[in-house]
Amino acid sequence: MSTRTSVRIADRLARWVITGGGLLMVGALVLMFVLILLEAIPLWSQPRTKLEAETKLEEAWRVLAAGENEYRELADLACADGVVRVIDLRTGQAIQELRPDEAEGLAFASATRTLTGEYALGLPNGSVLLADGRFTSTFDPSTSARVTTYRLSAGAKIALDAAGRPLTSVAGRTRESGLAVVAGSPEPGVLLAATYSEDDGAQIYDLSEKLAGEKVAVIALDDRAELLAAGTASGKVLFFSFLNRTPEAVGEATLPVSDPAPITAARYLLGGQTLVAGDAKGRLVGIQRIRRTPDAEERVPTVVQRFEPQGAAITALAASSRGKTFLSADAEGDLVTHFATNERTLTKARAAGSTAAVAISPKADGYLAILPGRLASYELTAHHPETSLHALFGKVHYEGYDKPEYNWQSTGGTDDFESKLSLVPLVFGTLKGTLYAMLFAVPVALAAALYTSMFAHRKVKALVKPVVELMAALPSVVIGFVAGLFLSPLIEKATVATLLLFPAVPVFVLIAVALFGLVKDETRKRLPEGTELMLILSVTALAVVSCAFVGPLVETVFFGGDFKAWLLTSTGLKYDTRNSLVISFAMGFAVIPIIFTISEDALSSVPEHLKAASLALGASRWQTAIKVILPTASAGIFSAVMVGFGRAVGETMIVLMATGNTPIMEWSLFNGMRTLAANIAVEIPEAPHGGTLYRVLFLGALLLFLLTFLVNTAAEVMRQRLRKKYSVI
Amino acid sequence: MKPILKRLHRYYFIQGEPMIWLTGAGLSLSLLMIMGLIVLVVWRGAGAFWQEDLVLLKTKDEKPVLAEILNREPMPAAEGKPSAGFRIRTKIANRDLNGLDFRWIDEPTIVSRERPKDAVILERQEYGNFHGFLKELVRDGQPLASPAGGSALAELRKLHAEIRPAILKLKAREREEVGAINAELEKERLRVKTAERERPARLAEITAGSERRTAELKVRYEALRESLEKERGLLSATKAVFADAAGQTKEIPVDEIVRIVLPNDLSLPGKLGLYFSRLGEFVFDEPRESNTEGGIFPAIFGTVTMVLMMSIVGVPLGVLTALYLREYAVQGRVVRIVRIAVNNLAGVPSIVFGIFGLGFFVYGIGSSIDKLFFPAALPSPTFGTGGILWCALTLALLTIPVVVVASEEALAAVPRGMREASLAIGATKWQTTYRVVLPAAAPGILTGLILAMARGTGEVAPLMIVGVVKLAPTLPVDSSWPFLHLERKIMHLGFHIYDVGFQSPNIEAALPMVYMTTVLLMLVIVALNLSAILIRNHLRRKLSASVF
Repeated sequence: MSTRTSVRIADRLARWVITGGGLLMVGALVLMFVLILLEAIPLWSQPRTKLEAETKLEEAWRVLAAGENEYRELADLACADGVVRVIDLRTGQAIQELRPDEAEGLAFASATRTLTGEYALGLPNGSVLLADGRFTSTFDPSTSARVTTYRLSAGAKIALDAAGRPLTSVAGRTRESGLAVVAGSPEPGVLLAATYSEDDGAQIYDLSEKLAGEKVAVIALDDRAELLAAGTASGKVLFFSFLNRTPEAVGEATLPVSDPAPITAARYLLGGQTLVAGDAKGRLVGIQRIRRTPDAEERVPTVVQRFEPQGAAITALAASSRGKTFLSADAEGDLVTHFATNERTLTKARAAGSTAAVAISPKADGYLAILPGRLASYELTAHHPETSLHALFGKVHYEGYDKPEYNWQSTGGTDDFESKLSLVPLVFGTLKGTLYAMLFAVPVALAAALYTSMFAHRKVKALVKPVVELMAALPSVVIGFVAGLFLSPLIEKATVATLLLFPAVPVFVLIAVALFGLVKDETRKRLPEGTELMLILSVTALAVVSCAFVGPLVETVFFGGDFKAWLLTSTGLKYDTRNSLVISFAMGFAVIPIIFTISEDALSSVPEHLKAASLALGASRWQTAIKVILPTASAGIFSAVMVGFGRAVGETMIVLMATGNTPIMEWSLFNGMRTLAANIAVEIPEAPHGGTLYRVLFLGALLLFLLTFLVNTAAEVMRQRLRKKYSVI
Repeated sequence: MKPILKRLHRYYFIQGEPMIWLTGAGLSLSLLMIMGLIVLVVWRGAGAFWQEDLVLLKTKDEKPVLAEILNREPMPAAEGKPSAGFRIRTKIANRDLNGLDFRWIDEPTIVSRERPKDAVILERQEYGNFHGFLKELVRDGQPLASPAGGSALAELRKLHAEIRPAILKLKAREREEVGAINAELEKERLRVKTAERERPARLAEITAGSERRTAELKVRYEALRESLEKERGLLSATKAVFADAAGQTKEIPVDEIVRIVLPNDLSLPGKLGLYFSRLGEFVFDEPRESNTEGGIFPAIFGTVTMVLMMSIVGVPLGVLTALYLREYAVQGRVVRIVRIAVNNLAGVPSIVFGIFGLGFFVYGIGSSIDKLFFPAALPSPTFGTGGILWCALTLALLTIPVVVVASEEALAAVPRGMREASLAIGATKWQTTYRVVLPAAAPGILTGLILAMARGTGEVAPLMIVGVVKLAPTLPVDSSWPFLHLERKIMHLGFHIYDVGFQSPNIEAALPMVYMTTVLLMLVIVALNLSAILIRNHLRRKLSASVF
């Protein structure tokens, strides 16, 4: 009799489906890994640049400074013939020629343009004219096309040089308050600066004396018009502060090279904290004013970044209005984009000829270069310039900091915020939290497992196991909630009592066991089962209660009544309410049942005859446990600790609720941490899809995944080995 | 003395008994911790709805207050001086008058404590509770004469019993009918957008029709709004004038009052009744005052719906894997790899599942669904944002290992003889598995399901990023087509604890509620786990008896 076809088909189908289902688990794990990896990988995508278009420029124009609009359609050029021209980049036509009336038809001797489009124009009669250029785009609903217009509105005009010499270099801008700050140099040994406001008129300052014989080559002014930098022919950069209106010299920096060359270009980056300077030999540095020692008052200009050098003199620099990207151009036509924070070179392009001026587009998706007789427009694709292996895992010198640091601070309040994306504090926090949790959990859990499996009565065991299973089932949000809102204020009030617990419990137990030892063996053996555990339980509870009473006493006697104040004055440690001590208990609470269950299983499954043999040879029950059972089960115990470790590493809610989530790097027991897992939970709602932060968070998740994968795989391999071992015994 | 010392020496140093006691201390600590946590949470939670008396406190230097006394502690010692007595923490309520709900009062400054019988606690729709005394009732600015023989309070209770249900009904109607019109309006908008893309030829016609209907809907909406306003105006015209302990009066519309309580006039059964009435509100009502008052019904409902959806997806997959590992696979490298995968799925941090769910389900699959099926609604996402479906799928992935482990154990416990008997009479492997093995293992698989549900109920971290929100305007299941709305965001018990306990503006006032939510969540989880343990023990006994 043959089997019906339908039955055979069903059997075949079931085999396929079930096998597929089993393999699906592997698929799911691989999919998880691959997806997270794929989201993180674009962080390392190589930025690209491409020549988009070249526009012919007339020789006579001689462009001094340039900029372009948001949509990369129009460019505004300040030309030496006294005209600001607007060029349509798509057609190459000059569509507007603007001659500011205040320039009185004079040519421009020099010009610079700020990120917002304001020009400082140096005139041949020694005056500086500020003129604000703005692109405005509107949508024309009838043609559904964008209409962009350019307006140039003249601002302050200041007669800077009383001698009326043409200014060869110039810088200036108007603060939001209306105060204009300008600076210019008619000849290398002279540096003039001025402030101007409607009410007070112009104040001219001659800074030449403060140059101490240096020859000014280039000058640059920051975004807030507070700091003036002057690059000199001997390779120095001198700084002047306009914070109190009257300029003051605030130090100088020298390029850290053995053969100084004249500074040929200098430019402040967005935010006005970093000055990028390039010299005649193509070397590029970033200079910030920092405190050399922690308690120094003065900030000293210091070279903190060195960028990849170029082959020829740096002729032009441009900053981005989005982040710390900048562009350097040299006399041979090399156009290189860098990211200042991490000293990363983003892209390189080569155009023939010396570059007179460059500009990065407002969205940082392209740039312009003014080359001999032409304007080259490049596309720039750099999605994640702020990340590099060094920025993610190394020390980085961020703006406003005095030394390179590991730092995580992904978002800030202002547009010019420099995101700090070092994963090191997060990895540190993860390990710190895990370590403190394990320090508490491992001894407690292993002791509990050992007692339950080896020494406890069968009935006690039957009661204890479900209770611990229940402990494992408690959601971490409950533990975190209790730890954050109940335990942490409690521990803050009774820090000393809490710390006393650690020595007090063993001491109480050891004393109690000595007393119990006085009881005759025969009497002891007649006691009902479970008495021992009840005794230990009461002693432990007694220890806890006495700590609560003795704690304040100890605090008064040894710590002057206030442990927190004592901690601060004598060790310099600050006490945070939500700290590692709380985490140690709370995360320990979450980890203990896991370690307990697995190691208890391992201990219990050690074959009974080993135990019997050891006891028969006259070993005490402790000797049997520690010399026979424990070594046999060691692989299982290792596996238990590994699994517990994996759980602690990835625990999110407890850390989120019971620590302050500050990414600090201190081992102190009395402050908190931010872990990789909590960081994801905190930041992912704010991270736009596909942005740098989003991908860095995926990278953090990838680290977690890999860490737990290794740990869990090791644990599983151990367990499989253990199983084999028992089958031999 | 000597033999005692000798015995002690042997006991202490040779037998190693102290070490045993130390291991026992480890177990004791664990037990104390779990007991302590459960007692704490239950204690705090259970007290949440118990009404304490209202005490009229007159103090030396401040205005009198009508307060519930919460706890008492020694005053913090001033510089160098010992503590000068005790202070009490009181709930003074009347947030709209005082600006804060709680106040510490130093006991030495208290002149008198009274418990006036006519002190009233009003639970209000907004601004939290009000403690005070009823002065009079007004309607449209005119005092309402109390009926002969009846007190103002009885009249207020009567009015409240009429007005409160009416306003609730009105609100429900408003939500339903206005919601329906809004849904229609959105449909019209999408119709035009779809036509723009798919049928440009008939665009003008469709737009015209849609505009006509939109105009009609708007007229209907206006009419509805007007009628609702009118009814509401009628209902809120009746107000009760209350005075606080200092005599400051406050007019409170009767429709804003949730509950009127005279705590000092309540007998024990009355207090118990109040307790259960509040418990009922907590379980079956919607939250008020940014989740710090009212009930948590949407969170319960969201959690239950999501966990059920999760089980529907996760359990079959888990059982398949277990069947593969136990029944079908040839023991070898592949099985080892599958086991490692299962163990890793169990060990990978839950937040990693969350971020995977975000990247894969929400931004991957969800965005694709939006592009294919809901292009008209773009750029506002339908499935391309967190929702109950993504929560359920993420959790299913997370809980599969629980099902696998439990089912494997159950399958392993099915005696070999049963399989062999089935195969011996000519059944195929699938027939054996389906008819013999699976029924025998069913209780064990049920254990897996229950444990997975317990795990899923308690998990919060991954859900926070794939669709659980602090306040969802609608439930995932309702009476409008297609009844189960897979794309909707949900509220969740665990997230509710985190959100109200840590993100709410008035944590102190919300704390009892959070404890109660915790009790509820723990009850669910403990109940699920206990039933799983019971089933498992029962199963073990049964199988150990049926040896072939």
